Amino acid sequence: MIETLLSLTVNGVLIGGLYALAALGLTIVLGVMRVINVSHGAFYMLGAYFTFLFSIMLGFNYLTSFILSAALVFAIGVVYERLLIKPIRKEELNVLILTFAAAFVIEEIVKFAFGPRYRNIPPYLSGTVNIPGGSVDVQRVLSFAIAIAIVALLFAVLRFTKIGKAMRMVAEDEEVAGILGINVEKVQMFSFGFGAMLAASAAALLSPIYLLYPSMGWDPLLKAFAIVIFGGMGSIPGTVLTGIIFGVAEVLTGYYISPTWKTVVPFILLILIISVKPTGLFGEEE
Amino acid sequence: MMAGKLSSITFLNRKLLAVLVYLIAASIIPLAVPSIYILHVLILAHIFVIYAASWDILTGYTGQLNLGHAMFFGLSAYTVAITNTMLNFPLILSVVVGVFSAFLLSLIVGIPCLRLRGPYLAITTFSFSWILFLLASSAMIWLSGGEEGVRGVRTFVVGSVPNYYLSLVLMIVSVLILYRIANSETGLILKAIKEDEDAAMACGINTTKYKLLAFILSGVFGGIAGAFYAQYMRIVTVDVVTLELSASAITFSLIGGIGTVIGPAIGAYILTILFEGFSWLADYRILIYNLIIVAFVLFLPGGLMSLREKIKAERGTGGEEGE
Repeated sequence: MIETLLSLTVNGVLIGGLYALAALGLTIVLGVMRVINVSHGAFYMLGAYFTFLFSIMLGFNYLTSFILSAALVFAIGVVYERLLIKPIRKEELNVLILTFAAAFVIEEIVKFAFGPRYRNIPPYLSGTVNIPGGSVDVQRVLSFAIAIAIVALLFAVLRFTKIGKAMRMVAEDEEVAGILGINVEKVQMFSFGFGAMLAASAAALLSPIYLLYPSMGWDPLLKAFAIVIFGGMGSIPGTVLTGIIFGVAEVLTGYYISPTWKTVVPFILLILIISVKPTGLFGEEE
Repeated sequence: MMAGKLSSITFLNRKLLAVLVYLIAASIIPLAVPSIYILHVLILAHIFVIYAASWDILTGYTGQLNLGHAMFFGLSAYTVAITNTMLNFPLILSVVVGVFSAFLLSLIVGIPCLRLRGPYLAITTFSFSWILFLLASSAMIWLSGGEEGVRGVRTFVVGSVPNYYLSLVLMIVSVLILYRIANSETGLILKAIKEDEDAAMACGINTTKYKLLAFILSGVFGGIAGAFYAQYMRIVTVDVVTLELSASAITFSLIGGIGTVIGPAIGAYILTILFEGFSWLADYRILIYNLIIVAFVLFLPGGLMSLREKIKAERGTGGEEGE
C-alpha cells in the first residue's frame, strides 16, 4: 500500500519536473514581458514535432535531435516576438487574442506538413530501475535529470550572466532598465525565444512518453497556466514546486480515481484557485 | 456642423435601406432558390450570427476576454440533445432547460470572474471550455457519445424552408435585442467599464452588476444559438465544444468589428456562407480564420466597420473635420 504510493509519487515527481520546465517558459515570458503567451503550447508541440523530424525522419540520434529542435524553436520564438508581439505588446487584450489565433495557425501548418495522424517516438533508452512498490523507467529518470539540469542552468544564467541580469532588471522595472542603458527590446526578444525553447525542451523530453498530434499543445498550455497561477505568477521556485505537485497529483488521480479524469482534475483545481486566491498558493497578496 | 448632421441622416437612412433590402432578400430566398444545400448554409449562418453577437456583448462591450465561448453553445446543445433523447423531455422543455443550463454556466463562470481582471478571466473561460471538451470527448463519453455524438434529437419543424424562416426570425429577434441593449444606456456603461473600470466605479456605477449582466446575456444568447443548432442538426457531437468554435467567435467579431453587435453578426454571416458554401475551403477554414484574426489584430483592430472612418481619416484632415 505505502510502497505503491511511494512508487506512484516517484513517477509523479519525474513527470512533474518536465511540467515545471514547460511552465517555467511561461513564467519567464510573463515576468520579463508581462505578456501571457497563449502560443506557448504551440511551441511545445513544435518542439515535439521537430524532435520527431530530426530523430525519426532524418535519423539523427536523440540528443542531437533534442538540441536541434530546442534551437530551432528558440529561433522561431525570436522571429515570432519581432513580427507579432512587439507591435502590440502593451495591448493586453490584443496580445491574448493574437497569441490564441497564432497557436491555431502554427497547429494547422504542422497538420499540413506532418499529417493529422498520431505519431510516436520510441524510447531513447530502455530498461527500468526497481524501487519499492514498482519500477521506474531509466529514460524517465534521465529526462528528469536533464530537466533539472536545464532549470539549474536557467538559475545560473539569471544570476551570473549579463543577459540574465538584464532580464531580471527588465522584469523589475522596464523604464529604469532602459535608462540604465539596457536594450529592453532585445532582452524581451531573447526572453521570448528562451521561453519558447523551454516549452520545446519539455516536449522533446516528454515525446518518447506521450503521443504526438497537431493539437497536443493545448493540454500542456493549460497545465502550464495552472502551474504558473498556483505557483504565484512570476515566481520561479513556486513554479518548479507546483509543477512537481501537479505531476504527483496527476499520477495519483490516474491510479486511485480514473485515468480519464486525471486530465480534468488540474483544470478544476485551476478554476478553484483562481476563484479563491488568484495570487496563487505561493504568491503574495497584492 | 449642418453638413455633418445632414450626412449622418443620410447615413442612417442608407443603413435602414440596407437592412430593408436584406430583409426582403432574406425572406424571398427560399422561394427564389429552392436549394436545400443553400438553405442549410444560410440556416447555419443565422445560428452563428447569434453566436458571434452573443460573444461580442461580453468581450466587445466590457473588454472581458472570453476565450471559451463555445462552452455556452455546446453545453446548451448537449443539454437539449440529452434531455430530449435520453430523458424524453418534450422538445420545448429541452430547449428551455438547455438555455437555462447556459444561463447557469454564465453565473458559474461569471461570478468568480467578477473580481478578476485581464488574463485571469481569459484563462478561466478557456479552462471551463477545455473541461467541457475533455468531458465530452473522453471523461463522460457514456453521456456525450464522443465522436458519435447524441443522435435523434427531435425538431420543431421539418424541412429546410420552415427551419430557414424559424432561424431567420430567431436571428433577427436576438440581434435586435442585443443591438438595442448595446445602444442603450446599459451599452454605454459597459463600454465605460471597458475603457476604465475604476473610473466607472468612481462615477457610482455598480460595475459588478453590469459585468454580470453582460455575462448572462452572452451566455443565454450563446445558449439559444446552441439549442437551435441541436434541434436543427438533430445530432450533437464534440464539434460544439471545440476550441476552434470558440476561436471562430473571435474571427467573426474581429472581421466585422468588435463592440458593435452588427459587425460580428455580418462577419459571421459572410464567413459561414463562404466556408460552408465552398466545401473545398473547409480544409483551410481553421487556418484562414486564425490568419484573419492575426492580420486584423495587427492591421485593422477595429474590423471592417472601422474601415470607413479609417479611409476618411487617411484622405486628409480636410472636409468635414476641418470645422
